[in-house]
Amino acid sequence: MSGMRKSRHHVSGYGSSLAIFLFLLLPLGGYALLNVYPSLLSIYYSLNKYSGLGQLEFVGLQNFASMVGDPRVHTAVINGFRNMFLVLVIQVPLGFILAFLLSRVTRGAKVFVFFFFLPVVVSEALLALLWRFIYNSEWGILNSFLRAAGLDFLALKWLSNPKLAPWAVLVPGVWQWVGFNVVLFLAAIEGLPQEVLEAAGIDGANGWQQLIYITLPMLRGMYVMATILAINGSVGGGLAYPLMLTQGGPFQVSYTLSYYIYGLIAPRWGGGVARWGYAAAVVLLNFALVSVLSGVTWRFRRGLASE
Amino acid sequence: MTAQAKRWFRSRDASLFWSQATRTLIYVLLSAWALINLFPIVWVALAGLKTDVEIFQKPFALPERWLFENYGTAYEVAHIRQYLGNSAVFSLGATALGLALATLCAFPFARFNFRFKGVLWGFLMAMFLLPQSMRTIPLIVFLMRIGLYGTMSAIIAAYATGGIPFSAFFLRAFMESTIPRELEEAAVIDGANVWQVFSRIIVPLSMPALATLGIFNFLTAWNELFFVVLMSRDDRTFTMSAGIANLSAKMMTQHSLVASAFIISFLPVLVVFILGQRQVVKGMTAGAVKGT
Repeated sequence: MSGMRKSRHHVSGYGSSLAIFLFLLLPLGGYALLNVYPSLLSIYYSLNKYSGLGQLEFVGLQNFASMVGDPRVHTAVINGFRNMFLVLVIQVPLGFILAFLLSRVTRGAKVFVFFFFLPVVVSEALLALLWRFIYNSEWGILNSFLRAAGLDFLALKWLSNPKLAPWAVLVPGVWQWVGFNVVLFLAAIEGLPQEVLEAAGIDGANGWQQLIYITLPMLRGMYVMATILAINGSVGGGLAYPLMLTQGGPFQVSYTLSYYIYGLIAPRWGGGVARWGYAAAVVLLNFALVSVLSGVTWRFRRGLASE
Repeated sequence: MTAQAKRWFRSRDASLFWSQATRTLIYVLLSAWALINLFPIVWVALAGLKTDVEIFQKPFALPERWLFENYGTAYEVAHIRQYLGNSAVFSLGATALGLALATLCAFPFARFNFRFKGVLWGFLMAMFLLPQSMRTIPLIVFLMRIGLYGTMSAIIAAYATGGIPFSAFFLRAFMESTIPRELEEAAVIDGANVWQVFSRIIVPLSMPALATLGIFNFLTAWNELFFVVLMSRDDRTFTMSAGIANLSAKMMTQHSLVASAFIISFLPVLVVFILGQRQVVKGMTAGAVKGT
């Protein structure tokens, strides 16, 4: 083995091509076989009719045409946008506010972070169970609370009212991920150069002025990142909450893309026949929506940066 | 405003008062959100110790008799023992396999120059952007064809490889920035071969990164629902998450049992989170913080 071959890093010569190949063989081979190959194949599947049994039947773009007229796809996409709306208007800003408040606290910050982040590490399936207890219209936490506060008229049937159900299955996800945003923004705030804030303080800027003129502009990058992550996570609309809270009902108003895809693949819980070609097409629709929306946000960031 | 009031507002007392008031307000707001997160969990923990009638009639009261046997019943009735076992096997297996593969993968990228290095890495990172759901259907078909669909080992292998891009990204960055090259140099001069450098220097020194990734991957695997359910033929390979989703429909009417099941499945996650809070938070936010 030659100790010093010419290369940028002076010890890098000790790895022969064969050694490098052997290192990469299992991880990249496994990744290609179980991820790249099936992911790309799903594009072909989306052009076929396939129930999971027997042969694929090539139908061209028919699956995509069917989506246009599929009311469940419409509902699921609208609910994806509703979710995105809730996440961008409530979750991300609330995460920022809580992070800012946390950054002003000297004692107990760690304890707060623990409780804020706790829902993030618990599975959606488990939290969906929790939300069934919250939403139960007769004795659930929410309505018991409202009745105790004398607000009986607000104690509604959250999961069976078709006007409320689509929102009710989205709120748990919005709540769950607030803590994630808190931690993102807290890391960004703590990473701010202290000299700038100190200089501003010496120049007589008070807390509010520091927030508006220094902290907020400097956190714009993280805000865009949090927004992109939020878009990525919100358009699909989640699986566990619709599955365990409403089964997409009542009258299919609380369908999300994730839940619909799931039902198309595994009809044993959703009802009906497996439609794997169609499911592959809906997955692509979901991916396309997410890509376009994050792409637009990313460009927006570049626009801001070039100002 | 009277002159006296004006004077007070400019005094040190006032500024002290305002800073105290602001601090109190901040604590009140932070506590409010902490309480919103905590209260339902405590409520459900207590509901698990009540009778169903008590849940209906006095939802906010402490249990009249603390029915700890509810937890035992849920553990037996609800297949929870089996699901917990599956969760442990799946989460530990997928984490160990995933980290082993990612470490093997990250090392050459961190240390050597080779043909197609840039292209391969770029491709791996690009694939990371594809949603997990995209591969699901062809993967099911593929695993059916080779007769491995619905087996725990296939579910573990498929899930573990899916995590390679992120873990390799994290590990490569760690190896490049933290592990000193002089150690390898000395080892190579002393006659160590590339595998010895990897196993005796790179892996031990990567432990902090592996710990972070390990805890993070473990929790993600523990919580996975979509993938586990769709890769399972029946509930024999269901993890806690999948089992809970499946069971909740059947046990709709036994509320205190559902509540007990909740707490039993919540406790392991709570313990891991208490032990590894820093690593969990770091692992989950690493990608985002680096990206800005």
